[in-house]
Amino acid sequence: MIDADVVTLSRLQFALTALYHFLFVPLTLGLSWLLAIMESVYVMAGRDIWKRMTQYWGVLFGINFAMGVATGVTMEFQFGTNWAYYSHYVGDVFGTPLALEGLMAFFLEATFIGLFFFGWERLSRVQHLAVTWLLALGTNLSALWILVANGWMQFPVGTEFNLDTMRMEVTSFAAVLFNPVAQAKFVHTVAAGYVMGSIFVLSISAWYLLRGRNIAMAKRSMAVAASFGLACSISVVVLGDESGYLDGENQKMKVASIEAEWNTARAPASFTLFGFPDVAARKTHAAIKIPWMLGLIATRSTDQPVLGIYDLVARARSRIVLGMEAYSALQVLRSGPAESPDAAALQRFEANQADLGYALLLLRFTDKPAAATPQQIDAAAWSTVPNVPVLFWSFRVMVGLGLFFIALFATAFYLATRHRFDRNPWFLKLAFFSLPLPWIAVELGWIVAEYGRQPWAVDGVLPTFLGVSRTAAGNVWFSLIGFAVFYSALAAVDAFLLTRTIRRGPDGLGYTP
Amino acid sequence: MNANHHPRAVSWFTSRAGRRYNMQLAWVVLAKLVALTILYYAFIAPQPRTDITPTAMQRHLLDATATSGESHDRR
Repeated sequence: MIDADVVTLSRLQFALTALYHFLFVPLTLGLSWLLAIMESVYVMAGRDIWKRMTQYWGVLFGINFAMGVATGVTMEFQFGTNWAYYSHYVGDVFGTPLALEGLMAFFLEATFIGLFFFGWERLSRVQHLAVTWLLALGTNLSALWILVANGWMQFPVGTEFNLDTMRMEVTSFAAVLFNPVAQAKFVHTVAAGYVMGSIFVLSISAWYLLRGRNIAMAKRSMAVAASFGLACSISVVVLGDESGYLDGENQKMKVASIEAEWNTARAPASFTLFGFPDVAARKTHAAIKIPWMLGLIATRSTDQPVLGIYDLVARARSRIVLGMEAYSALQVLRSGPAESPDAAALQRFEANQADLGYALLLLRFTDKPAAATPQQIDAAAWSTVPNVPVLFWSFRVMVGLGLFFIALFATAFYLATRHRFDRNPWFLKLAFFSLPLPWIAVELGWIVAEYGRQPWAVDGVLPTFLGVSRTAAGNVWFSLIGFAVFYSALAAVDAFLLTRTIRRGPDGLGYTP
Repeated sequence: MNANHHPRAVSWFTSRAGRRYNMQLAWVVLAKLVALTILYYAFIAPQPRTDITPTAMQRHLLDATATSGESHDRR
């Protein structure tokens, strides 16, 4: 029996742990390259201050890394405990990148992070620099694999359904690895992490300058963060645009929901800058539109329409009907002998198997999907629409913050080239108070990506509610509360350690030359 | 004896401190393995596991009565 409470609680638990885990990951990604840049300057210029800078920011990197690893492990366990059907149905695809992510994260990163901290006195300058670059590389490679897995959930390629094992199996690992959605997500996500790392360094350095402490180190740190952050913040927006274009190609419902575009937008499609999506009335009130922009983002053209929610629901309705054919054929095939399958049923299944997932949506509304009524088909078709207001606002706040980061780093870069940080306390205050903003932006980014994929666990293949394990709601309540308490404790420890280290500063920790 | 003989470079890991470090590391790894084993047998092993054989997947996805949902969306 599929228990709706278990579905909701399991989703809530995964969302909680994933959003919490991603408080740490992007900072690790960003700081790893900043450490590599600072140490490279040290090795090339031979000035001790750059070594001290690397060591000091390395301490903050280490605290964050330790907490991030601890929070990531629980997510992988949940695939087994809470998402057993999901794990079986797509495990052949999902398992390999997840295992490689674990190997990269634990073996490569953990090895080099040990050498990074304990190798300063035991390795030569160049050897230690190589360690730091490999640490950054390992950190980013582990992100690559998890985003390959996630990219496949957004745009499943290189796989097909196996009748005998009742699951999706890999037909081309290269297609899974080089999935364009996965690659676009990877570069967009890691670039967002680089922006976070840069703002972290910029903000804390600004705080030191405002306090008149560690001036030489803070100015150099700000200069590195400003230049790296400017390049990365521009990259995030450009790569996010590429991600948006691929969504326009492959996840049209997500784009229509982000835009609250209920009716198909005729070419050249306008972008809704602002408005109030009304789910009950299925329209957007007081919409302010920018001509042509949506067409350029979603189709890279001014002569193609962008499909609206009504038309996409109609398309889903057609796919459900085709999926019902595949579903009933599969029932026939599974009830007959495997060695001599019913030829007509096999042909019917093969012709419609691409839409099997759409028929599975009907299981929310009827016990017999193959004999669903028009009302049930209609309800299943409308269930393919994600939460429009959440996506609409999350996307706009995320993009607004992304544009603000470009302006922040451009100003910082200008001031760095003019050596004017200490003459502009307003900017130092702005930089310091910007510290929480990248976290808000990246969390909203994940909400857009994952909430926008609903009702699918794997787009068009497996509905989320069919992926959960058969377990008691009480068990999930127990683990959910346990995670919330444990993670809150970890957050408190992390905040305490980071704050204490920042307050003590490079001078207090003996990193001042 | 050759007066120009250079003493062979000694790895830190074979020094007294290094050997103590190695021993501590081995104990930590061992303690973690024991703790994880105890946790597994105490809390995880006794839990019922979801059946994910192909037949179970067939029941889950295709056999209507078995999958009859308790979903509140069911109409």
